[in-house]
Amino acid sequence: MSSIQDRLFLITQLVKVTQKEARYLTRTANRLNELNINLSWVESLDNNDLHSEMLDAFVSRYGRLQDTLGDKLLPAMLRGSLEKTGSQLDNLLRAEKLGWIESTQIWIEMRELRNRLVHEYIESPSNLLSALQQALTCVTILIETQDRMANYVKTIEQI
Amino acid sequence: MRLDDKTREIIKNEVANQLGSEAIIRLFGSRVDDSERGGDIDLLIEPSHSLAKRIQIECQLAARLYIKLGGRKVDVLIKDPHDPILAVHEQALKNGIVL
Repeated sequence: MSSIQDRLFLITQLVKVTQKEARYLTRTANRLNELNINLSWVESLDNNDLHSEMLDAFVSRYGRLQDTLGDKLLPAMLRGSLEKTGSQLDNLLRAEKLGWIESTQIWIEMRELRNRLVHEYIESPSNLLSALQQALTCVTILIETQDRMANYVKTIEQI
Repeated sequence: MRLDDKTREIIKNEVANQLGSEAIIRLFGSRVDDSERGGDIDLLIEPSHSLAKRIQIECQLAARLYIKLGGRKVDVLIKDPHDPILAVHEQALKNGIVL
């Protein structure tokens, strides 16, 4: 069993990682928002390396931040607060009760959306467009969650 | 079909709540095969009417079912009556079992 100091060190490191991931995600989301993405933008991806690489960057940054927050930082924070950890669903429900995430339902929806972004790529431009537009609106939720979790960690560091 | 009665009822109720009781639900993928074990629950749902925000509803329904079924992974695919039939739909329509 790791000591409290080890656990806190891991949590602090993960918060730093998510801070960086949040910054990168915000930047790529801002760039996409400035482009006013529409169907012809999505249809042109096949022949536009710059845009298709921007989209790839967005999808992977969105996924990376959500994974680090939900699958790494969240269980580490639960262990650090001497809470029981369990399945992914158990952890999310607990985090919702503790006020770290706003809603388990929305958290899972955002994860589903990210899977769509990967799959719809091949299937249909209009589906990709709608998944992408929705994912861009979800960025705020991810950033706010990162902020909320980081603030909570600050309060335990002070104890 | 490897889906117990309780799971089937939960799925049917949730789909009816979101998309109406006329929606046809088909189970497809590995859960149709009695010789396999485990695996995600793959659903193809055909609502009677068109949906303005299909992808959003697919994500909402998949998330609700994941929570209601205690963390079991559910993949939801909605086939809008006005959308063309894609390869993945064909497969599910051919091999799927109506719940």
